[in-house]
Amino acid sequence: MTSKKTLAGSLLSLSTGLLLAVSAIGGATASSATSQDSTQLQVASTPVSSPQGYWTPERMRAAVPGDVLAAKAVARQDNKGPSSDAAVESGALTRFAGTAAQTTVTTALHTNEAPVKHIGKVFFTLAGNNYVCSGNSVAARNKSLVATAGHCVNEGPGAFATNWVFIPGYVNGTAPYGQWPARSLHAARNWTSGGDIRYDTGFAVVARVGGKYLADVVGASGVEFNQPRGLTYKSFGYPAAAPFTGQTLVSCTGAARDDTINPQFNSQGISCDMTGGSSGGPWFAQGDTDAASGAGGFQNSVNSYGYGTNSTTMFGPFWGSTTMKVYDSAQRK
Amino acid sequence: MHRGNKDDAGSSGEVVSHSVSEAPEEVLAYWTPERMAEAVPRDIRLPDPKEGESQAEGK
Repeated sequence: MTSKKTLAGSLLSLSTGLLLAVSAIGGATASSATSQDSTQLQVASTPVSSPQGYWTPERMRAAVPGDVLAAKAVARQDNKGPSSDAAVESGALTRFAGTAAQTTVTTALHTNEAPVKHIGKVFFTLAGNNYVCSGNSVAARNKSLVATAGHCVNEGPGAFATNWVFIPGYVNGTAPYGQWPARSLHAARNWTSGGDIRYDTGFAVVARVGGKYLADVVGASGVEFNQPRGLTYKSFGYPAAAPFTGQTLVSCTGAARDDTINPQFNSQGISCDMTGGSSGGPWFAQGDTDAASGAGGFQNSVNSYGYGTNSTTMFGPFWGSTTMKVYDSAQRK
Repeated sequence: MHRGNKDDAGSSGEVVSHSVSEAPEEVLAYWTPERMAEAVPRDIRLPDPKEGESQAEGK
């Protein structure tokens, strides 16, 4: 009797709980209910809307340990005496494999790096907005050249940036090797007039600071052009968009693959989850020795673009003859 | 033959060069720690065709 009454009560609670939910969602239509009805609904619906459901903290505390029930079962069996052998089941050894809990495994596609003297952050203004990118000091006749992305020096197509400054070796808001303002900015006409992403590379010639040239203070990477496709690269940058903060240097390493979504871009991509702010960071083709690999290698591209909101591939432009002309022009300024 | 102008004096056919008008001291003075902290990452994110497909399937 007791159990039936409890079940009926539960069903009542459930039905009134549903009604309450409908009333609450219905808003104005619930206003026809009397105040008494409202009171009953609120009280009856409490167990159903309780987040813990049946197992309230009180019921959990009051629950009887299972071994008490087991002891009672043993006592009952003792009273009956031993069971016959025929009653005992037998069969082949059987087992059922367990399963692991489902987990979401995310593998980071980047490595945190110590600062590198010749790699840094770039700050500039375009159309009244202040932006941040990454860049790298590269070997040049003028010993004052920084390589970055085209979209970090020019709107592509459109105006050139103002207030352009390079901070090599940046880490946590500090500029251990000074701040280097640009004297001139350089890019391919295909970028400045057409916004052609195949030419998303830019160069800045920076002013001397304290009478010294940039390359004499932080060094300068070698550069190379018209290299074979499919090389293994290590790219660097200061990703600033979440989940990164832009305060420290990050790298990605991988074999370059063609952009199959837009093959006409002629670019190559490597596995990488760096976010905004890493644009313009250098790509180094991996050499045969440790000294010729990583940040000590020859620069051959820059971080340029990705696809979608959670990009796992960073694409860089192919540095061919046109980019070489831009470089050669800039290094003489 | 490209003709140079105010923005790209010294440019050749394929290359555009732009002389910065601000003095280095002005640029250094402009970049206060606050402005650096508020600078927005400038990046290029192209539409991902796969994300478009998944959104269409979800509708």
